[in-house]
Amino acid sequence: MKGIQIQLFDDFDVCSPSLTEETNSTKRQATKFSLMVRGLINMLKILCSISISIINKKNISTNRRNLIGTLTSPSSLPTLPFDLIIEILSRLPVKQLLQLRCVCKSWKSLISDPKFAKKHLALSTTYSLHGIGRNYYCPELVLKSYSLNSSVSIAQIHLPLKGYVRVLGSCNGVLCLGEEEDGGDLFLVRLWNPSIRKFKELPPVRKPHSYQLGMRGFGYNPISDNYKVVVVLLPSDDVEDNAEYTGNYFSNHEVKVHTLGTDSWKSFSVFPFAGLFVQEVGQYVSGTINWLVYMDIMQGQCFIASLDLGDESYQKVLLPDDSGEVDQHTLDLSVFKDCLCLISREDVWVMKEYGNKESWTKLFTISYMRDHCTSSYYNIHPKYIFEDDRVLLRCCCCEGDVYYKYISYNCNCKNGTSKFIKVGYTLEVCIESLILLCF
Amino acid sequence: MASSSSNLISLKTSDGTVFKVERALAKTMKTVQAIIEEADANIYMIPIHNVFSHHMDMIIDYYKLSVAGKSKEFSVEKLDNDELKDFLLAVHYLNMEDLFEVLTQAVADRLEKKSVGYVRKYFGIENDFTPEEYAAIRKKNDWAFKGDDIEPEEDEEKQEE
Repeated sequence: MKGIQIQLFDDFDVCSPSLTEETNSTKRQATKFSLMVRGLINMLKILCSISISIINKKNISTNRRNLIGTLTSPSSLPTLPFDLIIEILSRLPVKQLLQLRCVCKSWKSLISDPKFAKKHLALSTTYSLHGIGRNYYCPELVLKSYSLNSSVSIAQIHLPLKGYVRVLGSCNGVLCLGEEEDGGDLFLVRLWNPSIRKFKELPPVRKPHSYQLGMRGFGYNPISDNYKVVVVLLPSDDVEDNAEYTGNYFSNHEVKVHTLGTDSWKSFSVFPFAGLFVQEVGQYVSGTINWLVYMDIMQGQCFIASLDLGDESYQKVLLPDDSGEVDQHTLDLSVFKDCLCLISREDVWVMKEYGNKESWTKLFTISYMRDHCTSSYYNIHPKYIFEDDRVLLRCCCCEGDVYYKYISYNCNCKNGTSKFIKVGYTLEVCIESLILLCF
Repeated sequence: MASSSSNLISLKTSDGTVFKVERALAKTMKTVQAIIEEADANIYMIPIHNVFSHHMDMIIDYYKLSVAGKSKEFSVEKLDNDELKDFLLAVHYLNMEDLFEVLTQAVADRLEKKSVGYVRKYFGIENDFTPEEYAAIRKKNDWAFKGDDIEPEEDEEKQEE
């Protein structure tokens, strides 16, 4: 578009300086006239600039939101409209997106936008392993990240935390960590997104004296588009010792919930269940947090206690009708492809329709017992299933100390594709995401 | 209602070529489908602005492969960056969901791990940060600019610093 040349006389002066002070009325008339003309010229200027900006708006630039792009003849460069750029960017890895915030201002706001983070999360398929622990040489807490493909360490962060740190839950690529103050009555909570290396401190939980941390969980509420942390406090002398006596893990417990963005923990209604033991780290699936509850060791009865973050209600989710198939003594609850996943010894079950007991489907059986790679370990337990037929196994080793070894095991080719990670502490699996970037 | 006697729909590209395509293929183009549904009388020929015959050739290729269950074999490797962007715009205009996803993923694959400068050039974007602002952002995410700090690992993991 060619530039439009407009020449306007800014200072239109009707009164020439050579006029003498003949008559005031003539002067006044001349002033009025020049004011009128000035007014007309200003109006003309405004009209011209409006029409120029309308013409400019029709020129589509890359930073404008527009559904139809400029499709020019092949000889000139095509420019993509912003919403196409969003589609492309939401398929890029997180680390690169952090770099691309430097491209320009609109990209910086886009990449930091929570809506973009959600879109990116929906398309994300990259997982990695993250562990917390301490090593002998360094009293600080070590947060270590491992790539799943090569099982090599990709990052290591040290935190100056002295207390006992545990994972409270994991959801949408964010881990929730809790630290128990040494001798204090505060329980410090923070969120950590390992793929963007971002922390967020949450208000601490005030834990009454002689209470300890029990079940916990972290999840996303799709109805309010927000995250919640759930923590259960148990009277210390009730668990383990008295569990056999009262027979109920849930007697006298307290439930506290924190909603991200608020500044406090609220008391919440208690679980309406009874049970002996609970797998304490809750598993997040589609707006609910789920815990495996054991009712009786001898008879091996279990169920899943579920908390719906949306309507804040509790529900009992039943296990598959076993008739012997589900070995309730070696159960583990996790998540696979956004569905509840139950691992019973070597069998993997998936609940295809949440809450519907009939939808439990046995996906496959992991037969690793005869594999030479794993034969030197005992107490092998599948912890996590990945989409490409790989399984994360946790095994116990005894070489001086008893510790855990995590093996990434490929179910299909059983010969030597296992990779080993030796860790003295638990690992969590996390998807790559941009959640928390905006905080 | 469009003529339902024939299973073929005529599409006329921007460079004047007429393609007779199966109704099923036209259905994958939501833009075209909308034109057909809105027409009161029979439509004999639908003009598709913004789409050239070389785009239609590739679209028909993709359609044939996906009908045969071989959509993974469709490749845009032979297209250079500008041709790929051009094709993406055409498919975006036609509002074809599956092919659109394939192409946006193809562009993302080409951009993966490329530098900030390369990406700017690719989209023709100007850096509107002042040197100070730019330096501040770079500093804030410095670790993201460092190369993949992958250390090789054998059976035993090393206690790294």
